[in-house]
Amino acid sequence: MEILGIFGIFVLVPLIGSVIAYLFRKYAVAVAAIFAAVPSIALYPFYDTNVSRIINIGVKLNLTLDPTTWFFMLMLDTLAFSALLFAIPYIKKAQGNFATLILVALAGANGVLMARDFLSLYIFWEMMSWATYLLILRKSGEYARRYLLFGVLSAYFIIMGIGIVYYYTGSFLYSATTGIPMSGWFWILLFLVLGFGVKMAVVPLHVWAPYAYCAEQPFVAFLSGGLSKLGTFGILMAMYSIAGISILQGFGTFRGVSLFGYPFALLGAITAFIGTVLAIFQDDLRKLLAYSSIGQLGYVMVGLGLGTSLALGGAIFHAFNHAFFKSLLFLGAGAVIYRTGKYKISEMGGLGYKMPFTFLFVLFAIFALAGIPITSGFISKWMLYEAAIAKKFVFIAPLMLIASVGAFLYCFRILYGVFLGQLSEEHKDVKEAPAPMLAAMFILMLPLVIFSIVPGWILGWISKILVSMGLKPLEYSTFAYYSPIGNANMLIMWIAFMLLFMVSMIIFMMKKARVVDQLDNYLAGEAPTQVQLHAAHNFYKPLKDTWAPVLKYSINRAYEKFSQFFVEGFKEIRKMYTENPQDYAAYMGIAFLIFVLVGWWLL
Amino acid sequence: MSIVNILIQSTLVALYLFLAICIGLLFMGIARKVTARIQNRVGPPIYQNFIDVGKLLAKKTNIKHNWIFDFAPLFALAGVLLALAYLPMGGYKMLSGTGDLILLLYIIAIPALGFALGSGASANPNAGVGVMRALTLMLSYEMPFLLVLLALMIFYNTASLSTLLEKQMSFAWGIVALPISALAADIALQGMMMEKPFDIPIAPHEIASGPLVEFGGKYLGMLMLYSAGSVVLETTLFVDLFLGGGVVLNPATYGVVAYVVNYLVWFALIFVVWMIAVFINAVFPRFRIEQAFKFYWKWPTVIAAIGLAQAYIMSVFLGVIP
Repeated sequence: MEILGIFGIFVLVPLIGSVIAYLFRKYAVAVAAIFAAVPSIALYPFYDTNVSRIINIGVKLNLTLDPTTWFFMLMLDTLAFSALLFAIPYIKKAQGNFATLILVALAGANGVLMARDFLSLYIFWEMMSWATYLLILRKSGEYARRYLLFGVLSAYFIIMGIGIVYYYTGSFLYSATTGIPMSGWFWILLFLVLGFGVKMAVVPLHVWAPYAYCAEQPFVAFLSGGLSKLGTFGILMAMYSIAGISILQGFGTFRGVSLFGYPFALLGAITAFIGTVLAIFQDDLRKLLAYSSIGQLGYVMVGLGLGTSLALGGAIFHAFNHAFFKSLLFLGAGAVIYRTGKYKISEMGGLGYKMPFTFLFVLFAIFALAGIPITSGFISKWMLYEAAIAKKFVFIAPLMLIASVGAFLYCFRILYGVFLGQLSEEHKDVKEAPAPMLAAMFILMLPLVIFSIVPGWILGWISKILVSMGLKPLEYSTFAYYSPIGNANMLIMWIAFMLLFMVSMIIFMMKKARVVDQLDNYLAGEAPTQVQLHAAHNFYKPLKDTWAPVLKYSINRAYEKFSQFFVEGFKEIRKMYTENPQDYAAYMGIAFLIFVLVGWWLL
Repeated sequence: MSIVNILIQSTLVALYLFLAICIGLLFMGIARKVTARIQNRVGPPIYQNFIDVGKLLAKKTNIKHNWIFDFAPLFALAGVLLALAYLPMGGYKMLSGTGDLILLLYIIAIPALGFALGSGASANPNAGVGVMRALTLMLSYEMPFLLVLLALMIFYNTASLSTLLEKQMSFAWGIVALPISALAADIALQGMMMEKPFDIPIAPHEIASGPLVEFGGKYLGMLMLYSAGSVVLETTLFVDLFLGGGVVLNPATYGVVAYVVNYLVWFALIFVVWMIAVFINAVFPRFRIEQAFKFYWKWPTVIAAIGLAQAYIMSVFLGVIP
C-alpha cells in the first residue's frame, strides 16, 4: 500500500477520531476506543511490509513503515485501545476531553514511529508531549508543571541534536548523515539520547515520573507502558539507525562494546537499582508502580547501551514486555482504585477474595515483572543478563541481578498489601471490576503468556529489526533461545512444570478441605478471640531503617533545592526595583559603561 | 529422540526426584537428632519426619481460608520439584542441558512466591510479618550469592550447569579454583536454608512460625515435602557449583557404574554441606532481621567481591581458561 494511505490509517484516523469522539460527550470514550481499534487491527496485514517515501515540500520529509515501526506500533496501538476500553467505566468527568487527548497522543506517537526525518519527528513528538501534559493537567497542575519542565528539557535536548545534524548536512533526513565528523556525532548522540532518555525516565532525569504517574490510571497505563517506549524507540533509532554501529564503534570499544554506549549501560543499571530500592518503600500504589517503571526501563537502557545483538534484542523484548505488564499493573491498580477509592496500599487488603479476576491478571503481570519463567518477562531479562555476563561486565551484571531480587520485594508488597491479608470491614461489599475493565486487562495478559511458550515468534520479529540495523540476528528456535554462554528451552520447562503441578495436584486432591472465616486464626494462645490487623503498614520497616542513612539523599529534593536557589536569587534581584529614579539612572549608567567596555574589547 | 527414550528419561527423572524428597526428609530427621545430641537431649528417631508427613497427609480434617490459600502447597511442591529437575544430581543431568543457571535461579523463586501467596492469603498478621522477613532475608543473602554466581560464570565462562560440571571435572573443582567465593557461598547458604542464626522468617518463639502459622493437615504435609526438597536443592546447588557435583568418574568411560559411584559421592558431599549448616544452627542464637541484612551486605559481600575480583583477574588478565 502507498505510504500516504498507511499514514492516513495510523495518524489521520486517530486525529479525525479525536474530533468526532469529542462530539459524542457521554459516549466519547467508547467512540474513541473504536477509533483506536482501527489502527491496532489494521496493523496486522502490514507485517513484513517495508515501504518508504520521501516527500518534498520544500524540505524533504520521509515517512516509513518497516519492521521496527511495525513492532513498536503493535505495542502502542494495542495499549491505547486497551486503555480506552478500560476508561469507558473509569472516566466519569469530562469524557470528551480525555478521549480527544488520548487519541491525539496516539496519533503523535504513531507519527513519531513513522517519521524518518527530524522535522516530522519533532512535530509529532511535541503533539504527543503536549497531549500528555494536558492529560496530566486533568489531575493536578503541580504534577503537570513538573512534567512540563522535563518535557521542555527533553525537547531542548532533541532540538540541539537536530540543529547540529542540520548544521553539518543541511537536511533533516535520517539517511542523509554523511560528512559529520566524530566530534559532531558525539554531541548529536549525547543530546538525542538525553532527550529521549527523559521520556524513558533515566536517573537523574526521572523526577517527573512519580508525579505524572499519579494521573488517571487508564492514561497512566498508556503513558508508562506506551509513550515511554517512544524514548526507547528514539534512542534505538539515534544510536543504531541514524548513527549506526560502525560510528558507535568509532568512539573506541571495550570488549566489543562502544565506549559511547557503555556509560549509558552503566547508568541504566544504576537506574534499575535506584528505581527498585525506592519502589520498595512506597506506600502509594501509583508511586510504587512509577518507581518500578523507572527501574524496569533502566534494564532497557542497559541493553541499548551495550548494543550487542543479544543485549539489544533483550532491550527491545524487555520494552515490549514492560509495555504490557506495566500497563496491566496500572490498569489493575486502576480497577482497585475505581472500586475502593483508595490508593494507599496499607488501607486496602483482602481485595483478591472479592476481585478474583483482577487479582489473577495482576498476579500474572507480577510474574512477568519479577521474571518468573512461566511468563515472557523472564526471557528478556535472561537475554540482558547473559549479554552482560558473557561480556564479563562486573558492575552492570550484579546491579541488574540484585535489582531483580529487589523487585520480588515490591511485587509482594502489591500482592499482599492490596489483594491478600485481611479484608477490612468497609470493603466487605466491594464487587469485581466491570466487564470492559476485565476485557482490557485480559487483552494485555495474552502476549505475556503466548510469547513465553513460543518465544521464537517474537524473537523472529526482533531479529528482523536487528538485521535491518546491521547487527547479527539472534540465535533462537521456536521454543528455545541461546546465548554465547547458555540456553533455555521454554517448551520443556512448560511441560515439566505442568506434569509436576499435576503431581502436587494429585497429592493435594486426596483430602477435602473445609473453608473457615478469615478471622478464625491461630493466635498463639493470646486472650482476644480475634485480631483485626492487616499487617501492611510500613511493611519493610526494618529494611527502611537500615537504608535510612542513604535514603535521606534525594535527587528530587536536590532539584527542589536547586529551583529554590533560583527563586531566592530572583527575590534578591527584585530588590533592585527600589522605586527611586536616581537608582534607575545609576543602573543605566553602569549598563552603558559595561556595553562600552565589552564593545571596545570585542572590536 | 524416540518416544521410548523420552519415557525412560522421564521415569529416571521421576525416580531421582522421588529419591531427592526422601533424602530431604531423612536429612531433616538427622538434623533433629544431631541437634538434640549437641544440646544433650535424646531427640526423635531419624525417620520421624517420614511419620510426620504421613500423618499430616492422612488427616481427615483440613481447613483453609480461601482459594488463594491453595496456591501455597501446589506451587511450593511443584516449583521445588521443577527446580530439582534442573539441577544435576550425582552427574545425572536431567533437564539441566535445556536450561541454565539463570533459569534455575528464577525457577527457585516459583515455590517461594507460591508459598508467600498462600500464607499471605491466611489473614494472620504473623504470616505477613514472616513473609516480609523472608523477602528481606532473601535480598540480604542474594547480594553475596549473586556475586559468587557471577564469579563462577565469569571464570568458567558458562552459565550452563551441565557445562559447569564438565569443566570442573576436566579443570578443577570450584572450591579449589575459587576458594574465596566458596566461603562466601557457604555463608549465603546458611541464610538461604534459613538455619540459625538466620531462621528469622520462621522464628517460632516470636511470630509463631511466621508464614507457616495457618497451615495444617495436608497443607502442612505438602509444605514439609517442599522444605525437604529445598534442603536437597540448596545443598546440591552448593555441591554442583563448587564441589564438581560429586562427579568423580566420567560417565562417558565408566557407564552405569559411574552414575552409581557419583550418586554416592554426591550424597556424601551434600551430607557434609548439610551437617556444616546443622552444626552452626545448633549452637547459634537468632539475628534480628536488620542485623542479618547489615551482616550480609557487609562481610560476605566483601568476601564475595574479593572472590569476584580473583575470578576476574584470573580470567581476564591471566587468561586462565578452564
